[in-house]
Amino acid sequence: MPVHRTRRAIILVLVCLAVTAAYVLVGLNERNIGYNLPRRLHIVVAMAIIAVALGWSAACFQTITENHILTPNLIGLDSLYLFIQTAVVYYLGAARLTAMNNPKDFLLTVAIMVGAAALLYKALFKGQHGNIHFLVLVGLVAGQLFKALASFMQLRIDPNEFSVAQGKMFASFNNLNLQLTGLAALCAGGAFLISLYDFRRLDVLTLGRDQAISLGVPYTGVVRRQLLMVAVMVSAATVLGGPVAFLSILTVNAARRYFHTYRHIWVLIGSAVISLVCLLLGQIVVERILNFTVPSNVIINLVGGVYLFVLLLRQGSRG
Amino acid sequence: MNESVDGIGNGAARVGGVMSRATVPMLVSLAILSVLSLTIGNAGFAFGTLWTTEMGLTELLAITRLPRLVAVIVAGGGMCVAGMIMQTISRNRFVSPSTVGTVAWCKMGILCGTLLFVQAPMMVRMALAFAFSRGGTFFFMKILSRIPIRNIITVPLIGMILGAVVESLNTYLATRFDLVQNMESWLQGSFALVIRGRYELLYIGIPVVAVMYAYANRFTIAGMGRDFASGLGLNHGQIMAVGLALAALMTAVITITVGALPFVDLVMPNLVSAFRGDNLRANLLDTALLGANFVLLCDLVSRTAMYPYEIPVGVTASILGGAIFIWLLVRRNRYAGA
Amino acid sequence: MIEINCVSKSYGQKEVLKDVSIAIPEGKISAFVGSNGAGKSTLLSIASRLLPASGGSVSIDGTRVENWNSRELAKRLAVLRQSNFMNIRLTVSELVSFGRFPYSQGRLTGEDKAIVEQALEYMEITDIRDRFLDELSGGQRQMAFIAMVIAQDTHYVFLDEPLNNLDIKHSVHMMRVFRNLVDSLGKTVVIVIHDINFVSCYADYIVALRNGELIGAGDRDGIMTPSVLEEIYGLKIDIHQIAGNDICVYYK
Repeated sequence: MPVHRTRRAIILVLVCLAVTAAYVLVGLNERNIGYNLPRRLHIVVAMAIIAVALGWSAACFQTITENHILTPNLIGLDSLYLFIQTAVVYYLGAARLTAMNNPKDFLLTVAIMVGAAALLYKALFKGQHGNIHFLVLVGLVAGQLFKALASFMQLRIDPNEFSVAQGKMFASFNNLNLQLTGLAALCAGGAFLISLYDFRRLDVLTLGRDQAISLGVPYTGVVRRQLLMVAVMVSAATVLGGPVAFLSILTVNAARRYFHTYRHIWVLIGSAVISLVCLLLGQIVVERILNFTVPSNVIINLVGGVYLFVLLLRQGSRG
Repeated sequence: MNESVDGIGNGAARVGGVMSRATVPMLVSLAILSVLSLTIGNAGFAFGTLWTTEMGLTELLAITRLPRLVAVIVAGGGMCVAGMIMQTISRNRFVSPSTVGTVAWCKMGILCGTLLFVQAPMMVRMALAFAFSRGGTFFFMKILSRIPIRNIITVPLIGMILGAVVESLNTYLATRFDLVQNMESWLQGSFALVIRGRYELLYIGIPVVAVMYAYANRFTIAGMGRDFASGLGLNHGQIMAVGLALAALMTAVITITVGALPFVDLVMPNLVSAFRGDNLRANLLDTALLGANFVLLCDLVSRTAMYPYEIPVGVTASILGGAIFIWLLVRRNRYAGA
Repeated sequence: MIEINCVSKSYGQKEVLKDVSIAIPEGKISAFVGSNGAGKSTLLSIASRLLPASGGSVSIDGTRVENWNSRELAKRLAVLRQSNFMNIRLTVSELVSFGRFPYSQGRLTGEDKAIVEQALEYMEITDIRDRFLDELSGGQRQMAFIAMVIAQDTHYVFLDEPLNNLDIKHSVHMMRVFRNLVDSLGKTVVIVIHDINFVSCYADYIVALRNGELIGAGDRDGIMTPSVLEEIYGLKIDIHQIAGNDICVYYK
């Protein structure tokens, strides 16, 4: 059954361009062009960075963990981000958080998140020869812990300050900062390039650990490098746009289905473009229909989660 | 399904008695902790004065301390028993009210109750919370039965995703109606607000446990699978429905009165079956006692650790429970071999 | 030449291999036999660098296994564990192409494609080359995995219970393929196998384990005696000559 992947890729990119155009151009007029055009373009760029970083990192992570309904966000990185944001408001006040838009704080947050992930991996690889499932379970538990600590602090924050923290906790593209976008692009882009170096080896990893080793993939090295780069990409994307946990599970699976392949290069193209479309659609709904009353990650998680269940149920009835 | 899918523990089931070697020590420690719980607090307390005519102290006991103690014991024991039932009938050690989204559904029920009826009476909220919990848990089990379980993380992951979807809907509703901080505060497990007149709903938990106990053997058999249960002449679907409804009811009662107690319902049953095997009837009492002990301990820590502030017990339970859970996982990882 | 020196393996307190030393003979089919839990699969995993040993060493062609470059070793030694169901959609020819990864790192040359083609023909699965793995029967899937190993074209081929879940026809086909790899291509094949009669009919060399200890290693004729078999399996086994083969009878 020939699947014309190139043709499908072109269709996808065209859809993406159409949605981008719709987002950028609709409602633009002479009076607001000076304000809206740069703002919207900036949002599109930030979303593109997030789409590539999350789409690719989830594809790598799913291959390494041999699990198709997982993202690195779910093993505690999202909760850690929430925890850090809340802790800043709690200890330093909301004013400080608003001022967090400087590069130093951005890098610090990313560094803490990557450091925590690295610590988790290190603990894992020190033990036996790396039981990935064990890593994921511990990550899930750690995520719950951070969540509990964060909500404890949230309770003790002044309601006015809380609303500031809340703005940070939900994904939001309404107060982007050019400097941070550049920085995120640099971090995520560097990690992306390093990670991309292994893309053919990742194809082999889809056969599982044992087969990959038999075929000459230096398993431990590849897994370590990938997990670390994944942590960098996810952290940078999360700090830039806030947590969007399910988006990448959804888009990676959608990309696999759309292109009918396990090959990482296609999954990457597919999931990045689909992620961008989803983010843009979410933003259009939030900006134009709901008038900013609801954060866009709530919409994305909701729709994404429902799609995921449809997917799971369909797969279940097939196999 | 191979062993690694659902096995944390590997103790052999011992058929027979309700009590084990651990039962009596746990009763003793519960008694000691109870006395501690009654005596620690803002208002000074001296046993000598209890029998004098001073009304203040007896009242203090009756209005706050005693209700709190009862609430802790019932909530701790009840939550763990609910977790145990769900683990048994689903044949999976990662299934418990807080991992499969029962608690999230329950919150949604409470939220809807609050939104639909401005001054909703407790019973209306309770009924909604129960209806949502039960429906949500059924939905999860339905999904579980249709998905091939490939490895140990599939089940908690699906539960988490379902929970998060429901939570994001909750957040949507709460944000929409400006209830976020409000909702967080009454759903973060805490016994600080338990006083006479505000906790009596918890007593529903006691008959629920009694019914669970009566059904215990049937749950164990149902847990061995539909074919096995049918072979013994039991109606598998019916027993599952009863078990899930009971667990959901228990969760709803506890969540609505004291809030969520994360991890407790997951960890304590695992701890019990790691050492005692999977015979539900034999473990039910121990599980309840262990849960009560644990939550009571958490409550004491919550009250004293940052005195005079009180840490919500949900946070303490998360931290202690999470640590125990990771320890269980490490232990299992070490013994499971390749 | 593969040499296993004083290898042991333990998980926590549990010792699954105790001080095993063997040399795997070149150009032969060697079979690891023993009861469940004897340590056969563990030994195979350690010898084929899938699992690190707790003690002792494994050397392949004179170089210790941890000093091999992983890509070079993959051109020398291939291993196939019991194939478990994978949740990826992969066609048979895509799977077999993976066998060329050590040579081409994913970019197939004309020569690679020819070798993949030969492997498909060798296993007689050219007709199902475009089918997805999850649509195949267990036997067909196993054939596809073996074809991948053949495409990898290594001198050493390690297989963990290759006959698992195969029917009689597929089992015999599989064993003939292994015989052929050794006799006409000069490869060294090592298998873990349960069916003692297949061992008797096809293997040249037998390594017997019990409770993690080596209880015998030698040519087929030396091990296939009632007394040694009783020691291996803890069961009285008669050996009869049927149509030129030693057949073990232990069913009653």
